[in-house]
Amino acid sequence: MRARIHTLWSALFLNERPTRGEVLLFLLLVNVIHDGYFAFTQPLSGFLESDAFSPIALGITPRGWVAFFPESWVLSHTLYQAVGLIAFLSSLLWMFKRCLPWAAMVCALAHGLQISLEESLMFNYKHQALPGVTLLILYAGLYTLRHASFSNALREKRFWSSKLYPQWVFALVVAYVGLLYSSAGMIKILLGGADSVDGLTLQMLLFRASPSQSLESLAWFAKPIVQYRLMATASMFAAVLLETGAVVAFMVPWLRRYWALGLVVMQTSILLTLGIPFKIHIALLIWIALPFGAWLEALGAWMRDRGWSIRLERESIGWHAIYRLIYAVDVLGILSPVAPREYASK
Amino acid sequence: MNHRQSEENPYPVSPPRMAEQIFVALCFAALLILPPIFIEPFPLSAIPMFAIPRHEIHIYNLTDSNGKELNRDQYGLRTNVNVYLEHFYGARFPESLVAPLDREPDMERVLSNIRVLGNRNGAAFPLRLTSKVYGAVDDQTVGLIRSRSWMVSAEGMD
Repeated sequence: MRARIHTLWSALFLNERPTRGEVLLFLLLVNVIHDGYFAFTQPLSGFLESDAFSPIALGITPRGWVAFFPESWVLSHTLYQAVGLIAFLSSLLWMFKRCLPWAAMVCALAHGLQISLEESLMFNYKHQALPGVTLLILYAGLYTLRHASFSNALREKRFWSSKLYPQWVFALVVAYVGLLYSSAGMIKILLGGADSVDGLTLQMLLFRASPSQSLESLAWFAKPIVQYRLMATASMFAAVLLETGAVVAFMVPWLRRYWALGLVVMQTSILLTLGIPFKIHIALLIWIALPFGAWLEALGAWMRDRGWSIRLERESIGWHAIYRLIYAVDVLGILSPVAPREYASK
Repeated sequence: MNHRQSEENPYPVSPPRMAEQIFVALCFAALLILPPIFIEPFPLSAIPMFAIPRHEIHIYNLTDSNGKELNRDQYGLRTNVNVYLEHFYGARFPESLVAPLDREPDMERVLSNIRVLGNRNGAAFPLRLTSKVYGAVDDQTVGLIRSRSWMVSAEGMD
């Protein structure tokens, strides 16, 4: 048993090419860039439309990382814009692998602060944003701990061809997503008991969410569920089963893909019926289900074999800075000066 | 790093440092330990929406004598299906007097609150409160199952 645990633990520190992990990081950073830009450019009039400034609001309770901030800070438009700007700039720097590892740490911190500030001003809940913050902390830890090997590989232009990305990144992301869904499923069972898979509850929720509480105003995807109890019960049962069993199913490699795709269907159904955009969840599940890393590596090799690589002269000083920036996101390896044989898959 | 890796990778990667092993161990421990200890610690929360079964939902509308719809949140008539999450919201709104959503509230208290707030806000009395109850209409689908209304004058209920 001890030997098996040791083997499993050691396997977490085996290295792979960064493609798979960097695809997810890229998606997370695009999300931060979008949110940071929105915060930085939001006019005061838009900021004042937050629930906290409603005439009927009785005040605020700062939430999350800003729980100990003075209320005046949380209600400050300037602070919100500044945090958004920092998140925006640091995510761009991280994406282009500049100012590391500081850009990574600042980006994770700024994005968490931004979400906390937004949540503190809402009469609502924003847990669909939580995985983004958690995973940025994870990646910031990776970039801090592996800073030396990453920066050497980037400087020597072998980042995309070297096996320097630890497998614990994938393992932790899968464990996190599995636990997130399983805890959600278990809480539903704890709170609802046998009724947690009751189709009537789902019908009532969809009906309540329709604009005028009528069958006609329901989203097209929701209509058959509200009209047929059996379909509603089957949908609710599938949702609770998929959620609760996620952490166990994700431990079985062959089952993980299908389970994650099942959860994608569930999240997409929520989007189509209730309009709640769990965009990070959907991206994460697709990333877990499909081997994007292997596909991109194969596509890059295929392009290089056909001579579709772009070679910029490294000696050209004018292009050097641009080349370094482009190399940081050259996931296909078509700009790399490293010989094609070094990219060849085993 | 195993033998196959060293063959494939011309650039040796040093074995994991103790700091990295501690970081990974802490991450796994945090995933398992923190959520049960803290109910709602951002960013580790996972309390799901729509977790409470609802077999009936009451929806309230309040209009003044001119037919203008008054704010349900302000008059304690909010029916949020995620009412159990309101405790975690940042902005604080007036308490809802009609929760939980699937049973009859204390209507005397609700109407008294409407009268007090209506007088305070200078509302155009009499106010008309309508309650619509949605639930199972048969063994297949859901819809309106009953409705009631009350008139609230400045001094009392009509």
